[in-house]
Amino acid sequence: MSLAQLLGSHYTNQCRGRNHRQIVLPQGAAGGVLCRGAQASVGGALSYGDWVDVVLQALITTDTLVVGVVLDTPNVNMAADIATIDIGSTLSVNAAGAVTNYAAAANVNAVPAAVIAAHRAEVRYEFASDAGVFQPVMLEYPILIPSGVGILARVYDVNDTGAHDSVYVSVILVQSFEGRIA
Amino acid sequence: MGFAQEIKALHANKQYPRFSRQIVLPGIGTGIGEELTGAAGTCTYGDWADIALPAAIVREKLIVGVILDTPSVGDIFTVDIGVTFIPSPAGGTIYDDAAAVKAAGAAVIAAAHRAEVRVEVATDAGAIEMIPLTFPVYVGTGWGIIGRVKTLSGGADTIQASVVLLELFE
Repeated sequence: MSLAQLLGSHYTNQCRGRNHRQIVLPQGAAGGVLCRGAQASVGGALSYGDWVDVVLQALITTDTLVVGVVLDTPNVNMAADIATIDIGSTLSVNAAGAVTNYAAAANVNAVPAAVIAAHRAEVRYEFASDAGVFQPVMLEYPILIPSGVGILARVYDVNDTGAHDSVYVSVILVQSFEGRIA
Repeated sequence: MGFAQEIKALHANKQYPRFSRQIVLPGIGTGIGEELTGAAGTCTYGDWADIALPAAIVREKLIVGVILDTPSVGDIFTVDIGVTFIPSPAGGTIYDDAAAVKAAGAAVIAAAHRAEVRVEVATDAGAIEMIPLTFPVYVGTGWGIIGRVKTLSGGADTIQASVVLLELFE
């Protein structure tokens, strides 16, 4: 599908408003996963930290669009700071066109080329403290996450103190859904 | 006018904003969101509550945003917006209200789900802005709009939810 066709499909669905649902992940309390973001830590001032798993591959059982990012609980070192958050996927295509779906963030972090290829959408947010309201950041154009592909995040900031600032990252997703019961 | 024509009109309205209007429900007479209460346990949804009853939806609408107000505590809130129409091979059922959805059991409770949003609020002292939906949720004539909430801390925390709707208007 070309980019024009993809945008046309988004436009049509925006007007119909049917057959889809919006979900926020991580969710749960099962398995120790809570209804808050996955913690991502910076690597240093103006330096990305490692990718972390926001949604594991096993939870993406249908094609999914990332439409927004939710941040929560910047740590004390993140106060009065500006963070740039990158949302990525475990799917990587190398220069030769070979496609690899890495199992998880740790596997992506182990391959320098994959670290770069995982990148999909950056957003930026200024934190005064962990005392405000953190509005979701919506993406102007969604990111496609094919079925079976994991969703990752990483972060850098301006004023890293050396204790490695962190923030929690959730993603807002749209999937096909008709709400139908048997 | 058929819904396909309405869609076309809404398309055009993005460039020529003449034929639609935006409303917020619950409407005049209430003026604040419907109170949603989470379950006592962490990250566990409470019951669905009525944001707009079927009788208030006299024509098709699109939910384009969610407004939250008056959180009971500082917490991370995940709010789910749903509808009372549950499709099925036989055509589907419009439930009277949130209580009827709950009474219909777990499958219907889950199927009512349409759009989750999440926000962290520290206190009830800041401005919580509208959370827009990238893809609107369709609401047919005579369907109800419902909401439910879960929180990181649990403890039956509450927050109030309104929905921002678009409908045809000439």
